[in-house]
Amino acid sequence: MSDQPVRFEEYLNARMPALYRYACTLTGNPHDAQDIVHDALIRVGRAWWRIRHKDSPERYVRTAILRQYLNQFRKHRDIPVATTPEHGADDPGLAEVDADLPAMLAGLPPRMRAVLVLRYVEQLTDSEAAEVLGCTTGTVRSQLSRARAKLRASHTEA
Amino acid sequence: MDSFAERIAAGLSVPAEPPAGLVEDILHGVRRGRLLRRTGTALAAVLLLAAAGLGIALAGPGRPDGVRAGALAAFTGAGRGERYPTPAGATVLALTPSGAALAVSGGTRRTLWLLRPDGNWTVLDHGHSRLADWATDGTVVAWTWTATDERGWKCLDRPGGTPVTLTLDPTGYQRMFVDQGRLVYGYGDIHLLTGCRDDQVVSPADWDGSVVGLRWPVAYLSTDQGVSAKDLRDGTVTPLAGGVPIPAGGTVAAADEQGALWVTSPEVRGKTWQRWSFGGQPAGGRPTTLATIPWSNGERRASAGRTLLAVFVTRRPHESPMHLAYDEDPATSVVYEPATGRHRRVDGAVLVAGDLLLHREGNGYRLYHLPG
Repeated sequence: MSDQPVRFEEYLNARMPALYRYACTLTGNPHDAQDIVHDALIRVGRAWWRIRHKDSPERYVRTAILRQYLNQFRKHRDIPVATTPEHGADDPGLAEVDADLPAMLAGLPPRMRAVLVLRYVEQLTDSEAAEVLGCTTGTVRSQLSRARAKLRASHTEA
Repeated sequence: MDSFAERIAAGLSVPAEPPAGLVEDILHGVRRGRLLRRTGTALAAVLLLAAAGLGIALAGPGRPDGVRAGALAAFTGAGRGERYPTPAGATVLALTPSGAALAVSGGTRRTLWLLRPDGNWTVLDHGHSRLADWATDGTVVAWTWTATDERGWKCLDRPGGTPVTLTLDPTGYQRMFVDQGRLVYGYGDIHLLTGCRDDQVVSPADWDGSVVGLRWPVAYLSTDQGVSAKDLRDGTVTPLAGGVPIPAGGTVAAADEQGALWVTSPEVRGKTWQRWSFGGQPAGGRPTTLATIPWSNGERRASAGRTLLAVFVTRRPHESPMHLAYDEDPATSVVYEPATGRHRRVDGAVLVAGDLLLHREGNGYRLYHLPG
């Protein structure tokens, strides 16, 4: 996006595919992604007059989506997460990924998954991820390390 | 990034396109929030008083306590509800607030089932090739069936009892609604049965419309003047969505005191049968087109829960115009939350009742408990 302030509708139309993919990456399924994007962007839209003048509205919006995701799963963490056919289906790029990896990722705690998304998909640095998550760089590193260990252990067991 | 990190990144990436209508939904939500802010506290107070008045006017046993939001958000799909067991090959026809459901299985000789949430299944009827309509509240069950040269209407109001045969209106088709042991049916004349007995006309044919919902003692009527709530005990009529009727003609609708949801095949450039159009309207508000899909010679069913309304269309193009909703076709559903104006379009048939939502996911069903 350019640095020029844009109308919220224009921003949405231009960035919705990317924001939706980001939410899908966080949640692992399109249903939750739709909810999260919907709720987060309504909040953003109501404050757009203020947000659009920020240095990086995109960063703000992505943070809003991330926090919506973390909040939603905090409230509903008693709901079991099932493996669904949507995970990784029909994507040739995933052909090389072990079939059980998506299921293992789906079983990670939301915050741990968020760290992986920010670091490995969004390719933020530790400090940038820490800023988005509102925690310290050390916490990001430890979460990342624990997530990798957990995945490796699950992978070995499988 | 090392190879393990790359594999993790690939595993996290979900290829997806945003669903149609999501941007419009968000913009609608933003505008709604701005409007609410601008109207200010005074108007909000007036609206609250009006809503309270409406609630009192419509109050009755088992009625909602007020407008609540968030039920739609609780329907996450993706296999998160609890599995709802059904007989092999059965299709659920109707859901009740207790979780009991009506289901049908079989091909040319159908079996009609009453399913209980505890897994207790009862065969209600067997042998008919085609069911025309059905309704249940979990205790009273009524269904009409048709065959090439005959048709009939059966009703059961005692668990373990024998279904009784009722006299079918000459038109042969009865849209029925059951709630709290009362059965309501009819075009023009509104008939009321207590259980399966004491058929009486509670509202003569002095209006032109159809019944689109029942929460005893209130029947929801769609007329040229819009959706109204009619108290069947004292005859009081309260407009809900005044001045804007549900579109007529081939429409299947559900309505309650919070709003209405329907699917219809509107005329487009002089032709019908080009698309299905899903419309929603909050009580007192304006109608909105929620979604459109290509027309198919499928069937439609609508249901009303405590906070959600749902309607689905089966999608396979059929040769026979008499194809019925219960066949195992892929379906498109729209679930509508009138209190918030939000809706969701989902694949698979959705039925709602009370605080429950039943979603067909693959070959099975999932039951979602919505926030009470």
